[in-house]
Amino acid sequence: MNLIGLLDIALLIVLIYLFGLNNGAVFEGGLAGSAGFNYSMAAITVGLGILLGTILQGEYTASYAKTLGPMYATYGLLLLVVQVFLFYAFTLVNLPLSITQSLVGGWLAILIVEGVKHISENVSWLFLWWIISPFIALVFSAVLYKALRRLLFKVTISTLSIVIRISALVTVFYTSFVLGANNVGFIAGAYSLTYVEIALLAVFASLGAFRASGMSKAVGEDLIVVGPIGIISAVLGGATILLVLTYLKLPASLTTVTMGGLIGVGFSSRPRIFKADYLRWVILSWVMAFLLGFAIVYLLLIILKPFIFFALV
Amino acid sequence: MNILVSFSSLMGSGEKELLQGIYNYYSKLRETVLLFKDFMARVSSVGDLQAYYDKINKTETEADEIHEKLAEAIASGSFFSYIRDDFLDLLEIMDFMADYSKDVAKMFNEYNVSRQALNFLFKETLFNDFVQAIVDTVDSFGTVLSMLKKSPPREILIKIKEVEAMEEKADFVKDKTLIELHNKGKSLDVLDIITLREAINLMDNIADSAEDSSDIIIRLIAKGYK
Repeated sequence: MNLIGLLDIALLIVLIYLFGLNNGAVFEGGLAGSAGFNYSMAAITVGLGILLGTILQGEYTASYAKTLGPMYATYGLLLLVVQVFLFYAFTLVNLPLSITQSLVGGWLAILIVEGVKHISENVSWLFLWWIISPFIALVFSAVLYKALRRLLFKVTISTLSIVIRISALVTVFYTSFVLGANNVGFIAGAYSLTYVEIALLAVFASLGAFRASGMSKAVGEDLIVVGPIGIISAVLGGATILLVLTYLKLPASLTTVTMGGLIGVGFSSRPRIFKADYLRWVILSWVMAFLLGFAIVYLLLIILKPFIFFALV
Repeated sequence: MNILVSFSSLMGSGEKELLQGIYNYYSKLRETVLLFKDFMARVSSVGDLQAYYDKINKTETEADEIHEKLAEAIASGSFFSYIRDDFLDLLEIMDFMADYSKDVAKMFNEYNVSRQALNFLFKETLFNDFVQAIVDTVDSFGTVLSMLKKSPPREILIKIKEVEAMEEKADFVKDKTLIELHNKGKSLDVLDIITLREAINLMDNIADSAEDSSDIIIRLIAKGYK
């Protein structure tokens, strides 16, 4: 492995940790709280889910990464630096960020600066799905929530507690699996990672996911207060939509679909707290993820290109 | 090891054990309330109150010990984690049933209310009905608590309405008792009237805490099934 390859891995580890910290909060925080998991059990579930998802199903979005265009080695490194910066900044202000959207944005900037004539037609298809997927998740999660609530209203409170505990564990695993299959699979495809490297990333993603207290509070308490059935419905609904997108070979954002699901559940259950300001910022971050990824990489390349003489190495 | 424990507790019976524990705690509280009822019967006749008061005191202390153990189990267990605080609140509010029983018993035991005032209270007012209404409210809450283990929320919510009705009845009888005490008891010593009035108002808290506890069960259901 050359120096750039080593730097890639080092930056990917930092990025994936921040990614776990930022994205993990959307689902693990509330779910682990609902189920009363201890740290080690939750971390193993997330790590195993991401690892298995990436290895078993990661090929779908990895194959999409291959259709985007060439990932130039030095520019790939720059792209990672920008991603790390973006994730750090967004996590500091407790806003969820999509790794796929900002990465695709930056990647397209590289291709445009490099003057690549033909950029995959799949990109417009991808944009379309990015726009509609949160709305599908919104409706799907709301329906799932209504159905689950109706079903569980027939059981005793102790049975409900056991059902929630098991469902939360299954949902955390399932969501981590889908996150691995879609998001980490896409990164693995973009940077041609080996299984050992993927395993390493899974460990760091899981470590990040359970250090996400500030983000969990922002998403769980500041946005919408929903109960355990609501959280499970939102996360399960969002992850299912992301799984469908994975099979369509489209990298997409778990935070976007899960937030869509949370909003759907929130609207159908008359939420107690609903911070419209924070919601506006969350929705803005969906748009900003791609635009910032694109704009920062584009500007940096325009400025730095004359100095990066080994860009195509 | 922790992980193995976590996995085994996934299917565990912690929830049922906790609910049984809360019911046992309630049984101890009810025992205190029933002892209080016996104590009041003793007050109406002429007899030594100290032995009865000691029994109430002892039972209330035992209830406190159960409360402490249950609170520890709730705080450290992984069950009901999303409604843990509400369960702790429930125990706290339920505790008032025994606390107020003891407080009122202490008043009658230590304050020298005249025999004339006591005779008036027990024979000329609805005080005995008031004591019974309090016990009925506590019993009605016990039924709700026992349903928590085996019934779906819809049935529990219906039963909770009965607790509210019982508490309203206790309130109604209390008001009547107070009115009679003030309007018909003009010949009584003012200090006796003040003491009895305070005792009646404190007794009302026993029924209130049963109703407040059932309100917390509504909150448990609303949060748990949301």
